[in-house]
Amino acid sequence: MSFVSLQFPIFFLVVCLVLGLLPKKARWAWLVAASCWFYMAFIPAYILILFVLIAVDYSAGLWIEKSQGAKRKWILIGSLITNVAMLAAFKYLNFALENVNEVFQSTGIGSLAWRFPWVLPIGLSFHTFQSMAYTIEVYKGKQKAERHLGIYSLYVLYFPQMVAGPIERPQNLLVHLREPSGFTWIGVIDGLKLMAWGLFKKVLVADRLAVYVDSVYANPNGHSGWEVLIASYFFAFQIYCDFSGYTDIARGAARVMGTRLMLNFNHPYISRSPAEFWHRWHISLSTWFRDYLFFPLGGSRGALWATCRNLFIVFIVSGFWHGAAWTFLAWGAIHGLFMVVQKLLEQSKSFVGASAKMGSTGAGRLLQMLFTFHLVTFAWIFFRAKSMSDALDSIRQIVSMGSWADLGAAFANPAARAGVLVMALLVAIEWAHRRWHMPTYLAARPWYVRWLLWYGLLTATLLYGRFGNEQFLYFQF
Amino acid sequence: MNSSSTSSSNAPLWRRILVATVFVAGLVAIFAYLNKQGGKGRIEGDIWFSLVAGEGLGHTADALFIGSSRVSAAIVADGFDQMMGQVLRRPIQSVNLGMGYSTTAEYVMGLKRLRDLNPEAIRGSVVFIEAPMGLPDYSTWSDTWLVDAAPELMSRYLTSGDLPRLFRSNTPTGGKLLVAANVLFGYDENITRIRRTFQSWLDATTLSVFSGLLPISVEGGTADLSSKGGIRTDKKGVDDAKIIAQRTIAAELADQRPRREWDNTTMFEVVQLLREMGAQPIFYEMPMSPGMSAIYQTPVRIQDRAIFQAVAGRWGVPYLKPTIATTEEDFPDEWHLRKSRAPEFTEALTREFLEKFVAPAMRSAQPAPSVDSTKTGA
Repeated sequence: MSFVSLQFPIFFLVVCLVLGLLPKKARWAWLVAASCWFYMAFIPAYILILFVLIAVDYSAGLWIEKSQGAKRKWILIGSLITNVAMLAAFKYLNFALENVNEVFQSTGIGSLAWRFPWVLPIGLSFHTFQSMAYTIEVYKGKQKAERHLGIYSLYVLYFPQMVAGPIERPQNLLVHLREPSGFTWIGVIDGLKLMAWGLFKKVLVADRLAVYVDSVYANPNGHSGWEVLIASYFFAFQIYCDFSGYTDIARGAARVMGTRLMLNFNHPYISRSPAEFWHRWHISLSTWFRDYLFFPLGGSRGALWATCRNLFIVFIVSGFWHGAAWTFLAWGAIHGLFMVVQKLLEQSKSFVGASAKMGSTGAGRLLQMLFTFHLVTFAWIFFRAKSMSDALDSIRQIVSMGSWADLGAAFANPAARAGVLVMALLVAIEWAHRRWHMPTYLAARPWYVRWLLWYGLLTATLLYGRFGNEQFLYFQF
Repeated sequence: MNSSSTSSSNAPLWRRILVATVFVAGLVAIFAYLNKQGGKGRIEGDIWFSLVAGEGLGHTADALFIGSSRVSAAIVADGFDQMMGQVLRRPIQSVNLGMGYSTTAEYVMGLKRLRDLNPEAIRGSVVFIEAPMGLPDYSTWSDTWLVDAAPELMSRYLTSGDLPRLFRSNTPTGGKLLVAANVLFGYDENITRIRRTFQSWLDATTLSVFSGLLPISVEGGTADLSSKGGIRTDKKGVDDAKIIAQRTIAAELADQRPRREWDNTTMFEVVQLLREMGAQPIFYEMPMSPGMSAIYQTPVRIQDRAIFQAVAGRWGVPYLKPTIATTEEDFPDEWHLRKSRAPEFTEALTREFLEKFVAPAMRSAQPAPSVDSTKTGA
């Protein structure tokens, strides 16, 4: 079930009403049932995959805690292999087959006209990573194994974040699920505000931008350089609003029910370097990779070349996590390259000095932000393109640019003008939020000012939102 | 926006509930206000049966053309009227009710409402029903009743009594809920209208701003297509329609199931209702682009077509096969016949109708056959 479907508000209302009536001890059972229902709205049979994951990791957690020495490590490895195998089977097997096929065809051996007949279960990459975080934390001794199967099931299944994160850590989520704080006035109000803001970002900004982005990226060669450039800028905002909009609705829904999910986005496009961007973008995934891949690889403790290698590996894996396609690998590699270059430049005292000097002025900071934004937007081209050749064609088109008249022609399309409008609106709101911290600022204003703003936001969503697209971009991962 | 509420957290419960109630009431008031503002006039292509009921004509139409936007593109009602009028030597009035995103379930519901309002509304009319490449719509009641993009088309024909049946169908849940909200509370349709007005205004405003900055020349209705029935004639609309057509063709060719059980279809109910209301249904073949017609040239569809012709005979519904030679260029967006070819197709259809039904009636020595007598011949 999608957060922006018409079913969701009804579902959520029923879940909350029943939850409020149940004693605290029984709430987990209701939430597990509701979460299963939520997930089964996609492809019902795939719930079995989640049950297998739950069974394996729940048992592994208990077993690791009871065991000693090398046995603990082997249990952990077994659990991790099961998770990764599940992901590999559903996400990467067909990709591997396609590539084998291409090699066979190019060498004249023939072709395997065969594919596994399944589609990627929605949110599988998220569940497996969250499950793996649990067993690793138990192995490290930082988390006690959960004995209550129902609570552990809820850790994997909790519907607000089960299909697209945030990828929670057991230390945060299990505590909340075990001892739910229940409904509070502030929790409900804050949660609903977050949900309204997320809905605004998704249906009014992301889905409006999608109209133009989809038409241009369907055939980049059929569009001018200006059009591809505009679509690329739009996509940078589309993916941000789509994903952070989803996260806000998820966090808001959890907050209403008395659970706090972690922050996943923190104004990523104001970052002044690629490294800062990754501290602000998809924080739950970035920290997962940092804790469970970068650090085990050696982190930045070793020689410079080893740190660069580790960074590059992490970003390649991150690219591959996003999707089984060469475009995602290229996207990961480009970010890996940015990080490596930044690391190398930071070795130079003159660079660090110049950068700090530049960052000491408003104009300098703005330039750094714009530069980083353009690096990130460049990488998004690979993320969005349907294939590597499309990505390269898009870049070629952008470089060829086009005339002033072509720019005019690009904005003859109403979707392009609508895109600029919603992008400007978002930037203005985010800037105001950043400048004044809106909740604090609004709290000091009279009630009617606050209400007018929320009414304005909801009315704008109703009148200008693009309803009907229930898919979120990150559902595919 | 990472909010942390500072609202009156120490206030007593009754006050909090009051505040929440007033806030929600404010939202409802805005919603009701927008709904009221949008309540004037109708959305384009609105309530096709109301035209027939006399709202638009003042009397019963002689002929109706029902179906998708293909009908609105290919049929020129004035051309039909003129040609028929010359032969019958009296004024003829036909109405083209072709509408994009309409469904056969909608026609059934519309006809039922029309029958309740005015059982005589279409008595004596000839109702032309499109049958692309010889096969009309094959939907059943368990299929979706509406197109996602235009649920309001269906909601205006339903009553609360129809909702249980709608909920048993495979209509997407979002569509079911929207229709139910509209039927029960009267919302959605007016909001849809005011959304369109607001979006058009915003579009015009941004256009004037951008035109001041850049050399913008907006391409209007450039394609040689009728803009009636919700057909888009702008470049983007045409491009989008082509993409959807390609997807439709690919999907249809990949999974083509036989169409043999016609008595379970909503189309059969349309035929029965028309008969019950004293109208004469007639199927006719609609011209299709080469790409689209490929769907109908598979062994499965060839057999389906033969079966349907027998079914139409059993139902007692005549079947016309007007033909004009067309090429790919005659379908600018793959779906719809070019506007400049529509008069020719209308003429071919009218001629076929005249030859099959009117001429035999005239030869049987009736002095000046009315459309009613042509129907007797049918």
